[in-house]
Amino acid sequence: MSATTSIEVQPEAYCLMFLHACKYPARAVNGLLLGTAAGDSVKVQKALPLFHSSFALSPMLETALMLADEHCKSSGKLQVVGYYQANELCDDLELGPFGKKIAQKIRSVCPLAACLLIDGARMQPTAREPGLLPLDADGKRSAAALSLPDAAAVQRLDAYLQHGGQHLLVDFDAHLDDATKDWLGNSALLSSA
Amino acid sequence: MSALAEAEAACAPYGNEPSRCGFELSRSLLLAVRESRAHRPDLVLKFGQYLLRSHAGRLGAEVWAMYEQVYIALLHYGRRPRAAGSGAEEPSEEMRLASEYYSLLAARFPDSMRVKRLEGMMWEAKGEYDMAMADYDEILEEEPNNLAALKRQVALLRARGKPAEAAKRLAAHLEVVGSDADGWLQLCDLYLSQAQYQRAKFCMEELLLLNPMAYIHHLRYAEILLTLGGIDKGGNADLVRTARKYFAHSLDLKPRGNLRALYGLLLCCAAAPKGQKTAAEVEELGACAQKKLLEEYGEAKATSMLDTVKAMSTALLS
Repeated sequence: MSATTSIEVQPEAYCLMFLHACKYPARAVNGLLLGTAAGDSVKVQKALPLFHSSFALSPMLETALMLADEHCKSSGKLQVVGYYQANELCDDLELGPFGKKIAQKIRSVCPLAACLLIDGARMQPTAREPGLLPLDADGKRSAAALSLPDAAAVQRLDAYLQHGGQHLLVDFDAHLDDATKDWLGNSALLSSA
Repeated sequence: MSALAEAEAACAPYGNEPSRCGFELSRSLLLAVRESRAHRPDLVLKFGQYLLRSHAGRLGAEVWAMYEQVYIALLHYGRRPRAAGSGAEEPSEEMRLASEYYSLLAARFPDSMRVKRLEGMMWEAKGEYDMAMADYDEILEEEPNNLAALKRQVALLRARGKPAEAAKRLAAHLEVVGSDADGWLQLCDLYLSQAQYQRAKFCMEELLLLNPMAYIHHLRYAEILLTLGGIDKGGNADLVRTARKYFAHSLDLKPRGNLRALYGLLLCCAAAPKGQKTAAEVEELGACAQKKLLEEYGEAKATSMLDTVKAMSTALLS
């Protein structure tokens, strides 16, 4: 399995991952990373928040993966290039059996795929400490170089949190309960800044 | 619109600033959070502290419930991750205020088990899990059926990364109090987190018996069955068929806005073995689920999802 050597996370994707974890502080959350992969580098442009309920059930997960694929096809430029997860317990830095399975599934399609774990103990990220851990598909710390979002991204995250932006975020779980909620674009959140 | 969403909307024109919202709005907002049992410590802290500071007298007897509510929110903010706490740090401002509120409550209700539980929660927030456990044990010795204390213990074990032990304790409780629906749901969750699908399935069966009209239980049950019978578990036609029945029944109980059931039906129809004598019916059901999904998105005016779902379901059913 080839390991990614560099991962670049763009500000919008970075903010969405953290806001997802902030919206459900007591739960494990996960999602997909969309962007482009070329050579040995992955560029993450967008995050698609998926679940804040159980990761153990496959039907809605499969549905979400298929929908994300179609979404990428219709956008033309994007593909699924990664997976992110934040665990229920803040000092738990393991991907866990379900997370590993999802990450492997994504890597079977995109071998370069990034796998990022949000470090629950460092939920006040700074530009130097972004609070993200890149992992291998088998859950070990990866040697991949994570190119950090700059200070502006962290500032943007702070600005969202200031006005309670996390409550506007919509993941696939929330979308399943209300079809009007836009989980693909998260327009309510992104237009609030 | 829920009472909480209504109360939040009422505060929005005042910039969500408690002092501009005033006593009545702030109070009804916190009441809505309490009654909906929503997890919104951010609101509780902001509006509750304003009420306790400026209007404690006007709250009357409600003031004690308010102290309790704000106290729990303070603990939520004051808690530190274990990794960061070296032990000798200054207590945070939140924890200091929480102690103050605790003293007020303990002085007013000296022998209350409810206040004892609050003390346990303070230990939890400080990371002193054994002290917390001892407090809850003490309550349970006095009142063996104190549900709140029992559930704190289960939550505590879970927070310490011991889901198996948490499940054991909860299962022992449910053996006695089989009608505790919240308990079964929590136990189902615990089993799922450990990939014990058969046990999780049993919990859902109990819930189906307790409340046969709840679409959400049928849905969850079907999701467990389909996970068990799914492709990556080898594929089991019987389980897929049973899952299909429960998805369909869930849809029957909640025909509108039940996207999970519709997607579930699509997956079941796609996973059904080809060339059986029911193939035509399965195909019809799949097409029906697809049509209903597109109707839902049409009504929701979710145009980007409409095209995505059309492509996805067509690929799935072909």
